[in-house]
Amino acid sequence: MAVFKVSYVVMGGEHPGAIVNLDHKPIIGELITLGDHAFEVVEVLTLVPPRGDFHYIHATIRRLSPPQD
Amino acid sequence: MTFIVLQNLWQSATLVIAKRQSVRKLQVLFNGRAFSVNKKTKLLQLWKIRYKMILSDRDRLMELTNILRKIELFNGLSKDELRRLASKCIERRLERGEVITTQGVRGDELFIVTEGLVEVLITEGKKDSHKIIVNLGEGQLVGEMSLVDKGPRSATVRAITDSTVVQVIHRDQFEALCEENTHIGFVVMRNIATDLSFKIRHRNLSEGSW
Repeated sequence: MAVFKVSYVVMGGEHPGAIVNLDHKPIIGELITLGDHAFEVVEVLTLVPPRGDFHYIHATIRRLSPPQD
Repeated sequence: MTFIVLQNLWQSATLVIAKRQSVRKLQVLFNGRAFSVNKKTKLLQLWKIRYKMILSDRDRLMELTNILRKIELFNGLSKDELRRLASKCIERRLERGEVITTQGVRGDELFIVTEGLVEVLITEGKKDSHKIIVNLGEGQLVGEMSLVDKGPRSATVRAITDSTVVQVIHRDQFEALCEENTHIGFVVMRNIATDLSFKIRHRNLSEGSW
């Protein structure tokens, strides 16, 4: 049972991003939604080594839907 | 009407039976569900209620233990230790916009997001100026700083999806469990440190992307 703890960082800082647990490692080009917004994964980094079943991933994402405010 | 909140399942039926002769009506609250009992309630019905409680409690604990296994806070705990922690959790369901913690207000609870998404906001300078610093989804912790340092909440946290579900653990119960079982204490505190470190890394990377 691998759990991927993913920090999504949004390019341009227009959105605070998110931290979520996933059952798979994000891949470049993957489309995701955070709340009401859609994003595309553009970079995936492993900054710290895994511990037990947990993998720590930082993914840079790009917003697809236009900002609402 | 007499209200009894049951903490220990195995006390339930005996408590109900013992009270049966002395009260007109008894409202038994267990896991947030109410069971009404009156003087005419037969012994068999009481045992049926007790059996329902046993099944309900066992299923809830099993389900919750499976959820907790996937949460980093509990990474490194045995099944038995997970079950003990699960028994301290109270589930809370939130609608979009509902606030879990308020910045500056003291709080004694740790929240674990098990469904949905919450946003973390901080107030900057002027009272009306809020900045969203991160969204937290399944498996993430809220309120861990107050749990560790007993200070006021560092941020306001509110649900941004309907049917957001959090598990709530009260500090007193949590600390008692950690002191009683030092392995749980060590593992959970180490995991809280890892979680805080991960959040700081996220924030550093987010601010670097501006």
